[in-house]
Amino acid sequence: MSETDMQTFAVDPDEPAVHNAALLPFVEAARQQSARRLYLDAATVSKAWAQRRASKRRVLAVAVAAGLGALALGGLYGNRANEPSPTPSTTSSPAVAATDPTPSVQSPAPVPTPEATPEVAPPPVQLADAIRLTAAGDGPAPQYRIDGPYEVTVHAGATVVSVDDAAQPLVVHTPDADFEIHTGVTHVVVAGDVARVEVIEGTTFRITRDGGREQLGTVTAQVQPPKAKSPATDEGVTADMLADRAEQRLTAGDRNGAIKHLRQLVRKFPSSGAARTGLLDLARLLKADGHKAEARCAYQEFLNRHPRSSVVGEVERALDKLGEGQCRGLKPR
Amino acid sequence: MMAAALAHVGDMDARSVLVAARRGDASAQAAVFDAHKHQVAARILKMTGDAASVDDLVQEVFIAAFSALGSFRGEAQLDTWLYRITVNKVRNWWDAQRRRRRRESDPVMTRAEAPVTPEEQTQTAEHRARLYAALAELPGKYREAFVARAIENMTLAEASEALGVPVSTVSFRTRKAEALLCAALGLEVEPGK
Repeated sequence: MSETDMQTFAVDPDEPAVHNAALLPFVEAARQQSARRLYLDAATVSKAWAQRRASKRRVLAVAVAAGLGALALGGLYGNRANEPSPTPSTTSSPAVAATDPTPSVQSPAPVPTPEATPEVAPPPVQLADAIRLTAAGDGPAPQYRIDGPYEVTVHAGATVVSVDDAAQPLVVHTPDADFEIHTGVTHVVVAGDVARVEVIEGTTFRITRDGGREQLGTVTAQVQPPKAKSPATDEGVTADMLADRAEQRLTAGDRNGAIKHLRQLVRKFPSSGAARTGLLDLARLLKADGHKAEARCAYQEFLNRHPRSSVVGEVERALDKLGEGQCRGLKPR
Repeated sequence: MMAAALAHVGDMDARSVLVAARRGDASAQAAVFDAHKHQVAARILKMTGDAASVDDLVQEVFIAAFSALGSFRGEAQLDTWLYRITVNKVRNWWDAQRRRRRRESDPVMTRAEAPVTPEEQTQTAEHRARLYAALAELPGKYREAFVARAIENMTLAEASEALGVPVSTVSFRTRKAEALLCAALGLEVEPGK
């Protein structure tokens, strides 16, 4: 009998939910689950909701700008009689602006059509004088959009952000997380949905999901590592790549291999989204492998990095289950 | 305080709270959240059997609810409306769990996640774990009907309203789920069933 057929039959409104008595103990077990304490609070939900709404609006704004840009470009190419003059871009990156004629999300203002008069174009948004964004050496060309004097969204590429005695901190949005640079030099590398942020000098914070601030440590030692210690295979590696490698090793039954990649992930990309879950996976694998002291460190590190995470309670319980002991530090390999 | 108020105020006041919540008024959102959070959390626990996922799913439910409050017409109870959002979020969660399990075919991971306290080592815990493992393999609509009827102990009429499908459909899906669960759990099908 199909579900449609069944709908035509009369049903006893008092029929039992479970007919097979052998299934009842299983159902009873599920019913007996006691409610646990909810660690989530209203303020956290409201902030998360507001952030997601803002993010959606940003995406919409970018899509609209890109759409307008595409329309305008179509107009330019469709009207060869009017030679297009160089379009002033408020936010073009040094590496891209000179060579790439295609509109990108770097330009918040729509490209004016030949019919549009320059006089009506909105005034370009400029970064504050104390802030500079430049391409990072031979890395991928940066693509960013200036949202305000102290706000920028990095979409892709490697960018050096310098903040020198600015009146207020620079907020940097990336697909992965948001950051607040107070002073100094910070490298921001964005590839796909992953952002790698390295503080060369100065003070930079990661803005947590609940609006809190986590200060990032400087990684001056990693700026120009000796070639011998930087194998070519590791260049260009991203957080997602390391997470994928860990999963592959796990699927292949190679727990130690997975641990190795997860260790790299949480050490090299501490602010990435992948490192957030990677840290918990690392803790579980270390625990399963008998490395309780190090598992304790991984859980503790998660609590340090994400003190307002919604799973803090679970992590604390996992720590309790590990029993008494000391964290002697994660062991990078 | 506002949470309690939301549960008792008249329709007009409740509606103004919902309008304010949709606009982003933090205190109105807090009122809605506080009034319903425990019920939503308890449902999620019964739907998933996974205490570790409750906080995240509760957050997802309320974010979705605040975003969609404009579409809440008031024909249904807010509670029923939240139930359907919860069902959708939990369905996505089950899909993600299934994909994750396929990727991680490592029994060690499962053991590492398993509870270890004496209380958790009882037969009840084992039954629960086996039931939810079997539920994970059911099609969503069968699982949702079974959870509503059997685990949440709803009447046919209540489950029908909560899930937004006819009573006969709930009955059919629950029976179908029961048959599939019995097969998965290796339980003998009773004569005549």
